[in-house]
Amino acid sequence: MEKILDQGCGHSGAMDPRAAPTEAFIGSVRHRFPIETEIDRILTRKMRLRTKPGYEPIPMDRLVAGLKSLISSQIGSDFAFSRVRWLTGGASKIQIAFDLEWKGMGGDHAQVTPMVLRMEPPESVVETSRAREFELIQALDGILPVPPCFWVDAEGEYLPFPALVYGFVDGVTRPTNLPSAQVTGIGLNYGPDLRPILADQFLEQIGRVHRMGADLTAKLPHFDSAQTGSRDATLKQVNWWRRVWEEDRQDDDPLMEFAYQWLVANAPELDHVSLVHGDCRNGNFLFDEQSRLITAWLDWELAYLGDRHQDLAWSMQTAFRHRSEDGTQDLMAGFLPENAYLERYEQLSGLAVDRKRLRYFSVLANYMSIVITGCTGCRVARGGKTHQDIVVSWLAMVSYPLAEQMRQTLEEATR
Amino acid sequence: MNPDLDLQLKVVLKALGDTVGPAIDPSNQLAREQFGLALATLNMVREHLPVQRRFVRRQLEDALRMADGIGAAIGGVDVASAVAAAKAILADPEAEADEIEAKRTVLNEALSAAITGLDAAGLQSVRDTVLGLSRPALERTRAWFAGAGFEPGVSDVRPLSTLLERASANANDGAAA
Repeated sequence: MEKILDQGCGHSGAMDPRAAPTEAFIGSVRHRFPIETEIDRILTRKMRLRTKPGYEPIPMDRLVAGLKSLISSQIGSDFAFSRVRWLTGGASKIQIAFDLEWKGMGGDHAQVTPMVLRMEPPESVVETSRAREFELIQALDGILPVPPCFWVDAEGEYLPFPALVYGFVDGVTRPTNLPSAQVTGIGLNYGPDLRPILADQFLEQIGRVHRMGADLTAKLPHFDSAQTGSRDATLKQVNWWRRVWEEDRQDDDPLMEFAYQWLVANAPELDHVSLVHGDCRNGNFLFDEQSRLITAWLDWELAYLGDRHQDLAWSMQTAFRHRSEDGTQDLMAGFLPENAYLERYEQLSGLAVDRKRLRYFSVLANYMSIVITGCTGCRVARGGKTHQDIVVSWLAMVSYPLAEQMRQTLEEATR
Repeated sequence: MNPDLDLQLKVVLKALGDTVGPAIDPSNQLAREQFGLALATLNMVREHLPVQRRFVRRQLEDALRMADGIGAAIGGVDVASAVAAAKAILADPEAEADEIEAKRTVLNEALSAAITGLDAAGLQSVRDTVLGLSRPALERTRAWFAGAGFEPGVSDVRPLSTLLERASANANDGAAA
């Protein structure tokens, strides 16, 4: 009975159609909120699996066996594992690190390669496509520092759930002498010495990604294409998160519905097709503390082809800012005050920043963040679906300052 | 009644902090991180338990003010039964916090449905109500969760004790009207 109350009912006491969704419910939501083809497939799968059991600790042996099957299917059986261990970090994926003793992709060069298995839990705080992530990392090889991506188990054929095998990249997400008190990089402070060095690399490299887009389309078959002069890419993005809100929420909220209606009515036409990282912020890249160089950009699962302003707006959310040492200014993404941040991006990327578009995408970034943290986070924790339920439940609390930021931006935009 | 809820939580927190925590393998980073969040969550629950009912009542009163505003801005809004149920639960001294929350959920569903599909003029007509009247409930919730450390500047959120006070009699009359 307690289980039914916990998962089956919302606050209203009525049965929650989202806890055990019917095909009619799933079909209705798909019809109301058209989105990218691959994302539609992933979200539909999520809803069809919703009544499956929650997360239970998976023995390391089970994962190693799955890994062995996956790698054998690709390169045969001439390899061995060593130094297999759990990795922490992040709230959305289960990770283990290991060394692979093998002969390389060509099968002719004995080597030991440190690698990471990154696997989905039964239901994640962000449900995304491993096939998409895999092909994007391949496409970015040689363009940007990204971890090498070796193999993908896109449908959980070999492992308990869909997974990727990455190369392990040295580096840290935060200075070891300036530990952040928060989880997942929120409030991350690089300190005054490191800050300007990382800021320029961050803005130049994300600008490099933004200049691309249309030219990557052929390498990204699991991504819908985008066209300049069209609102479609942005509307699909808006509908993606509105659909997740509809699928995962426990309660509704007039402010969220107002924001959605405003986002649909005011979506701008695309002026340039960019590859958008989707979770562009401090904490989502590794850097080497000696050389002070960015060694890898991480967490590409929310990437899509669309408007660069989304990455800028996302990185400028209040959760990723902090005050300067003299207490006079907020530093965007922990780097620079707002105007300096945007001007430096323009200088380094060669792309213009349109303040009106930025404001639009600020609302969208807040809307997305609220859906992910406050809505899906509580849904998956309620269902006991992840290895980090306590982390996603804690992160849900960030949704309220983000909602206030969204409310204020909407006030300015509709004045 | 002894031991009361606060005492029970207090001794749990002491046992976890004094005995269980130090026994965790220092190399088990996941366990250490989750243990820290478990302690922080329990401390927050202990702080909130005594005022939970007042909190959810204030939130429902704000939702009723929102219903008044949206009803005045656009005609034909079907929220009468949700409003009546919300008023009834607020008038019931026996009502538990989760029952009060349930009525707020129903009311917010109805209010959101009223906004769905509004044209540009309709959106503009509810703009002041939705954006303006979302603010008090948001501020109160931010104060509720301020201990999580996610506020960029806590100073712009008033203390929770202030935000749990009843609105003025006139405002409450308006909400209940």
